[in-house]
Amino acid sequence: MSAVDAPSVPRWAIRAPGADPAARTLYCLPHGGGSAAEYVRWARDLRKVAVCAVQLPGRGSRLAEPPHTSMAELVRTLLAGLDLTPPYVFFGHSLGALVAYELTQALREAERPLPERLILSSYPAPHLPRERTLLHRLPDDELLTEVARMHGGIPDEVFANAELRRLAAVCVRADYRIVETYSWQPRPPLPVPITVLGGQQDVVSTEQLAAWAEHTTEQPVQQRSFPGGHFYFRERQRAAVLRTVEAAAC
Amino acid sequence: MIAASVLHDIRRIGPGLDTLRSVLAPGGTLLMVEQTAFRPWFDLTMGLQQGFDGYEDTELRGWGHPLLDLEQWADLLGSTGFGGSTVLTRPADGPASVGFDVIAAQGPLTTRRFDREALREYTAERLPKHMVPTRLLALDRLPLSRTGKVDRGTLAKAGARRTGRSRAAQPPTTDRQLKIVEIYRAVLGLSQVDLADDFLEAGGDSLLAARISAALQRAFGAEVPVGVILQHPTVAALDSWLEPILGPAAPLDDQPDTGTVESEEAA
Repeated sequence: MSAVDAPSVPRWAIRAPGADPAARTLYCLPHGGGSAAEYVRWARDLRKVAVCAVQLPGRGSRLAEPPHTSMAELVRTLLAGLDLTPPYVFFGHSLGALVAYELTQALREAERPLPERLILSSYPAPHLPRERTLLHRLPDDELLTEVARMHGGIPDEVFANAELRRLAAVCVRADYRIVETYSWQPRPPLPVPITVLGGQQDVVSTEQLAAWAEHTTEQPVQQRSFPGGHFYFRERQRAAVLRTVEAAAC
Repeated sequence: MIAASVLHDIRRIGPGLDTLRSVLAPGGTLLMVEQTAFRPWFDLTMGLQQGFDGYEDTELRGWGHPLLDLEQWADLLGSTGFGGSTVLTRPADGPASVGFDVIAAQGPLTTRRFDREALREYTAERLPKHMVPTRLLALDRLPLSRTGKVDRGTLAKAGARRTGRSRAAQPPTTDRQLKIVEIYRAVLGLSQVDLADDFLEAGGDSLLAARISAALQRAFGAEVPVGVILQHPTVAALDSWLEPILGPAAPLDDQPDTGTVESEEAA
């Protein structure tokens, strides 16, 4: 049998198999340090949309590629790499929410078809003043410990395995560099409806989430909060969250 | 298809048998174990189990008990399209003496399939272009809501993601591939994985890759870095990566595995 080489063309998105070809595409933009996999697994429960999880360089099958260092570079390469055939919807959690917003602004500037809706999760509206942190300059282990303390979400298995720690630190560092060096440029609100989701015990507050309303002309903004922390959708009400995401996307 | 003391638990046995018959391979056999004689003392334990009285087809379970006798099973299997049924247990056998029987029912040799292309052509000739259906799906009956109307929600889900892959399955051909497939199946929590299934499309990540790495270490004594698993996302690719380290693998004997195919379809 023939050897199968690792793909040489960057694989920007993993489309979960078996989706109805007529369904709307739900592009899931991963959180900081996250990979596409968690969202690919959502596809097992999201039947009315075709889940397409975005894979950033430096993780998963794109392990060998250097990760991005700035929002501008990330958005530019996403614009070139993603198919984005309408109709589609963006879901972004945490860093992914900010990327979804920036990507939609860039699509508008490029006069390309816009998403039907933005579903933004657990990230404050981008114009709000932010506490300046410089986590991305910490050594590997301190970086992971600090991120786990603030947001959770890093499984114990990662801390227990040197190779996984190293792999995780590369992505977490790159993603925190993007967030920590980001500065919002004032632009008009988007002509795209927004749904905002969050965890009730998260450090991101309801008011910070509600402020996303300033970034759309399509009022009112749907806002829903679930019991739980930053990764509320991994907790008990996972099914309810996924139903909400599906309803918002359709 | 094997059903060990479970069919009496179906809410409505008739439609349940219909469904089983429709997923059985042509000419396949349904082998069932059922308690067909009433033993009041069994109910002291079994009767307390949840769902034991969850049946809805009270017309069948006339005497207020979920179990059916041999005659009722024979009638039901006959009326739901099974070709014929035989009781395999003899009265003197152990199971029969405590009221259990093994029944074999023959599924139909041919299954009627409608001709998708012919129907598409027929509709294309007669309907305006925008009304020609893009998806044709065979159903035994239309799903109905509680009020008896067509349940459009269920209907929309029907046929979506039924198999996941749109190509022929590529089963393992060597003992090593078979072991790797088993590891992937267990770690990913999937009922089936073949040589070409994509680890990433199945929701695999570095954490799951680390579990696969540990399992490969146990199975083959070879250290496979997480990065290798992520960058060789199919069993075929990983097997090729392992080949120079572990040497050639022994080919599997030709095993007819129609049984597996049947149970997969029934799952």
